[in-house]
Amino acid sequence: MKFIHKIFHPLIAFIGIQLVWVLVVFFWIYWFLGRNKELRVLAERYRPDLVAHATDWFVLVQGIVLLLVILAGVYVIFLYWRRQSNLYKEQKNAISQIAHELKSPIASIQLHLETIRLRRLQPDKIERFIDTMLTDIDRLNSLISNLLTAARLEQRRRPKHHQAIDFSAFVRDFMELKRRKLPEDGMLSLEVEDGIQASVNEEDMETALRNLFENAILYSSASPEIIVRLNKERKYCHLAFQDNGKGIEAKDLKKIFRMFYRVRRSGESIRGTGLGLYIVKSIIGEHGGKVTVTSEGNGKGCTFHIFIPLAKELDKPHER
Amino acid sequence: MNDEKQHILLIEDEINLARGISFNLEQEGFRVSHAESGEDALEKLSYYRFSLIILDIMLPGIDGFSVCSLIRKLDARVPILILSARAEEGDRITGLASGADDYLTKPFNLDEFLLRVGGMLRRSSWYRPEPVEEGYSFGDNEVFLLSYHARTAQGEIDLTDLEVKIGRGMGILFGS
Repeated sequence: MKFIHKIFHPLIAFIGIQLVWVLVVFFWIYWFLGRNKELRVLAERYRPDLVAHATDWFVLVQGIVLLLVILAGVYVIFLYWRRQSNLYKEQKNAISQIAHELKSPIASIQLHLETIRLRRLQPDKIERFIDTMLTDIDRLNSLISNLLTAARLEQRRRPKHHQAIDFSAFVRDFMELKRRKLPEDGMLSLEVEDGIQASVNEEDMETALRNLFENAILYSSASPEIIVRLNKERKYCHLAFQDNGKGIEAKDLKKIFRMFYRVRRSGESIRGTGLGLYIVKSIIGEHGGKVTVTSEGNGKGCTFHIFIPLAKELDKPHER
Repeated sequence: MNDEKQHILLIEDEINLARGISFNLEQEGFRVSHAESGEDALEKLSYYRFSLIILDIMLPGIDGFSVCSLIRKLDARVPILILSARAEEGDRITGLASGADDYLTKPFNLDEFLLRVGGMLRRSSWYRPEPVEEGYSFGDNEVFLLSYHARTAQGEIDLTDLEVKIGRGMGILFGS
């Protein structure tokens, strides 16, 4: 049974089709030339006037072209199958990953509630427990909002309403709010040019920035140092988000924006769902901008560059 | 059992959960050290001797399964309780195969957790009796055959069954 399964594996089938194809062409040409020679001999004997015509190469070429088209079709289907099967694998992985992500804050909330029930606690202790549970709920909330955003982006529902705002103030306020969530030895510095106007959906843009911020902390090897720069660059505003974390290898620079894609290094596990950067890229795309990442490699940190059009460009009603 | 508090090492990167667990264990009268990563835990293990290790699997840096195997290489006897969000059969088997004694999935019931911790400590105390015993000393070394350990110039070491049997044999032959 296993053997039959292996034979019908798309990769084996693909290689098989290639072999059969080459053999068919080879025998076909062989047969064609043989028949051609025989016919020529025959024609020379009975109808010498026919021999003047050149070999009918047209039929041969036509056949080969047809086969080439079929081959190209098979190749396209093969590529499509591979992409789908990779996505399926990543999705299966992502579901269990997401379940773990949800479990940790739930475990913490359950533990704290049971502790309150089990022990006689001082009011200040209960107060601290409640604060802890609220941060857990915060985490659950941001996780669920990521899932919903990804689902919305994937189904390409109508983008949300965009509004021209003071983007400089927006970035500064948001990052200042996040400063409190830095680990004790973390560092965040802002270099924001004043008065940059951009047309954005604030909720989505916050989701994008939150994801970049959380990644910078999750993927930091020691104490995170984050530098956020915002400045005008011709018709765009350029937001650079730099960290000193684990960095990204050249081969992964593009892949990390794919849905569910996660960089895996052996013997290392970092929590996450593989949705964050996909969300960032999609949101920036909806804003008519683009996002890229640069990194000098493992352990050397990375910088995300976000370009979105300045407000004047987008003041017109949003098309799409 | 002596009066000194039993020392538990908690390896957990979820800071909220770690605080809650530490609080509860301390309330039960244990001393708790917390490590946020496998590397941190291994460093702590080189300084202290723990009565029990509670280990998460999803850790930054080295993952929990590898940490578990490494701890087992250092100490064959310390009880290890894995506390993980990963509930699949395969994960449980990997955890137990890498040397853990018990596996509890998150979210967990606090009473059950405390009972399991208590049970593991109780069972490990059967295997590691700690009566006050006089050691056999020779040179700078002192050997304690009842509690399976020896004090040497290089520090404390655990003895294997075979080593203890040889020690006892030598004790019978040559007296103390």
